[in-house]
Amino acid sequence: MALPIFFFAVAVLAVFVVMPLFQPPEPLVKTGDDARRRVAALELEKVSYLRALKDIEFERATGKINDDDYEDLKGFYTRKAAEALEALDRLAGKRGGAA
Amino acid sequence: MVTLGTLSQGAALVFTLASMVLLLVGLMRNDLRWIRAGKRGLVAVAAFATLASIALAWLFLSDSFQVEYVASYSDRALPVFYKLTAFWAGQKGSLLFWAWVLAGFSALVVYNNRREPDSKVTAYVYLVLAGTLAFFLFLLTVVTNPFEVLGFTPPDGQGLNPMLQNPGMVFHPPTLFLGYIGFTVPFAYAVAAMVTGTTDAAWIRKTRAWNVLSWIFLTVGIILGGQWAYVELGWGGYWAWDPVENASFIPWLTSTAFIHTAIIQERRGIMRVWNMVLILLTFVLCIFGTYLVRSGVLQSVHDFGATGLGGYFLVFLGITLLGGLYLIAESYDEFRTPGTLESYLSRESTFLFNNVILLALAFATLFGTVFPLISEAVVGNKVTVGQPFFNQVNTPLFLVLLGITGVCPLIGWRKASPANLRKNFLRPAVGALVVGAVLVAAGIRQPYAWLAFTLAAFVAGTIVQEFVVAVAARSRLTGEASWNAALRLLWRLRRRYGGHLVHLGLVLIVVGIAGSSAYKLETQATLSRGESVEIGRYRLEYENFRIYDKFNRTVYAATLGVFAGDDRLGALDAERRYYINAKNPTTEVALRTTLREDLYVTMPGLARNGDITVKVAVNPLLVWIWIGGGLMVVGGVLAVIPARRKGRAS
Repeated sequence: MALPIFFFAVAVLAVFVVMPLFQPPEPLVKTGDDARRRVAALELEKVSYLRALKDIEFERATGKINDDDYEDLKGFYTRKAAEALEALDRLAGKRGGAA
Repeated sequence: MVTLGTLSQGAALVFTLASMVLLLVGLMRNDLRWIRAGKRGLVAVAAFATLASIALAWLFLSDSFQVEYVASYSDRALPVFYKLTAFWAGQKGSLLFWAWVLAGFSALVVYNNRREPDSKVTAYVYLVLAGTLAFFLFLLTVVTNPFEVLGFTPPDGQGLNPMLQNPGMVFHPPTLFLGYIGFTVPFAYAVAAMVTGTTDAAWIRKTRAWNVLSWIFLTVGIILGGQWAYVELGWGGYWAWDPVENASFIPWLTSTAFIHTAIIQERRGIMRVWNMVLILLTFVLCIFGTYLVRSGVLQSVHDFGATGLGGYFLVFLGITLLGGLYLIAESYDEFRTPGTLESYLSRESTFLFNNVILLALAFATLFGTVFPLISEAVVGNKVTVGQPFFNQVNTPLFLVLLGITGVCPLIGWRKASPANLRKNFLRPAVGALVVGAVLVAAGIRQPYAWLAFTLAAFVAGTIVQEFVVAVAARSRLTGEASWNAALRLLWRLRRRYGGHLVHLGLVLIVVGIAGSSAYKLETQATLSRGESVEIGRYRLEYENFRIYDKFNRTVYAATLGVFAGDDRLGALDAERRYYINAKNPTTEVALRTTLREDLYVTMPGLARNGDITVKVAVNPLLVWIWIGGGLMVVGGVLAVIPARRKGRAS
């Protein structure tokens, strides 16, 4: 009983594995993939700087940083978030233009 | 079932190799179809590894002693529970367990990526996972087959080592292995990031849950191992700096360092190369740990079934380490970041200092562990460094680490002003000094213990203060009641407060270690019935003796009444167990645990006239080690609960 189960499993899984090879060809790295990845990375960067802004607000409220440092850090993270947003806009413009 | 198991692990190897070929062809041809086929191959490997594992478990349950591995680690009298867990009692089963879990994890990675388009990065991730799987499946299929048959069927097996017939030992190896194996996934992502030149922190974010969960499993495994040693080995301690204990502790140290600096990369985009080095080290040390567990290269309390696999492991370790270092060197310019630490007074700096200490601890422990091998290579004989070496080197480093743990939560990112530090540290520091003074007044004079307790008070103070101030701030900003604000803070900032709980767990562990090491009491006595022995505030009276059979053993139990002054607190049964198929009897620890101290009794001697020899110890505060370990795990779990996804489509 065990052997038929094994050979059945081999047959089913072999078909499962090779099936994609019978589909139409598709490139792994498509034109525009780099841009899409760049957009995803910039989105993450933007989110991370926005989160940092919320964090420093909380750290000021809990007394870990003083007002001067808060302003300094707020400026830094706002600038970084803005840079990410600008880069995203530029990429969106390029992709819009290309389309 | 023997044939099914053998064929299944063979098929798993064939499908792994096929998967690697498919992935490589896909990468070379830039063809997505081959990548899809390759990743499906990993799912098939998981199916075959599962079949092989079911077959081995079945062979244990059905007492199939014609299989050499089953005959070596089981017998007819073994309780069913231990028959199942004998699966990983020896080297062959442990390796199959490794392969099975890694195959399952690889399939899980494929599943987790189901909504994302395949890319070069994911293709390389699958390739690294498949390569690691291929190594373990090769060992199982070609070198050390768990389904090997004897050629005859013995009437009974040799049985499981009595020391392994303990619930702690049932869960300790698999949890440790889950930790070891889990780090393969972040390692695979790190390699993929280096090969493809993906310099952002995407791989860190993607593998955060894998890192933390693997760290949790490693922590649980280490704690359970300590508990097993404490209640089963009978020497009164929980950690002996045994090579195999160290082998799990070293990657725990490097992974702890990695978890901290990964936060910095996520947050600031710096320390990219450093994180690559740390994850490479952690993965290599996990493989090294697996190798040490059953290789028999170093003498250990874990030598339950060693055979020579050393050469294969060393080659794999060499390829991984050299390959990883080559990739790091090659991608160094791409990954090097212009950003620097802006101030020594910042959270980043404290993380960096903690990294230095953690790596110093890891290096010192590794050096002490492999010293016998170094000495054998240099002077021709194995010279073992004992506990004093590890304690002398590591204790001061641990205390520095504890101090840094107290500083971390109160210091802001990028830079903190001296005025803020004074404001934040004044109360915890004063509180710790008061605790220190009280301890001196209470007679605590042992320098390391005093320092450990005082620093523990400081760290606990910083954590409590941080939380109280945060709750007050939230309450002020939102108008919520304090309890509501506290709960919401814990949940909303669970990553942060999960980390704090882990630190609090560390504090409790330090308290337990300091108390039980510095103020331990021990005595030994031979008693006739009615006689008693005194230790600390306790008196133990030998009251009764019984002999009975239970499961697969005959038990000789001495009942000792426990008294404090005139109060009878209860009774303890110290046992000697004679297992069927075991050459020597084992001692079973009798334990009375309170939050204040453990009363620990073993019976190393038993005379024909009924006299018993007992070893008695009082271990102050020891239970706090297990409570602290539990708190670390709870904190880790809290930290890893993912944030709710808002609108997947967006």
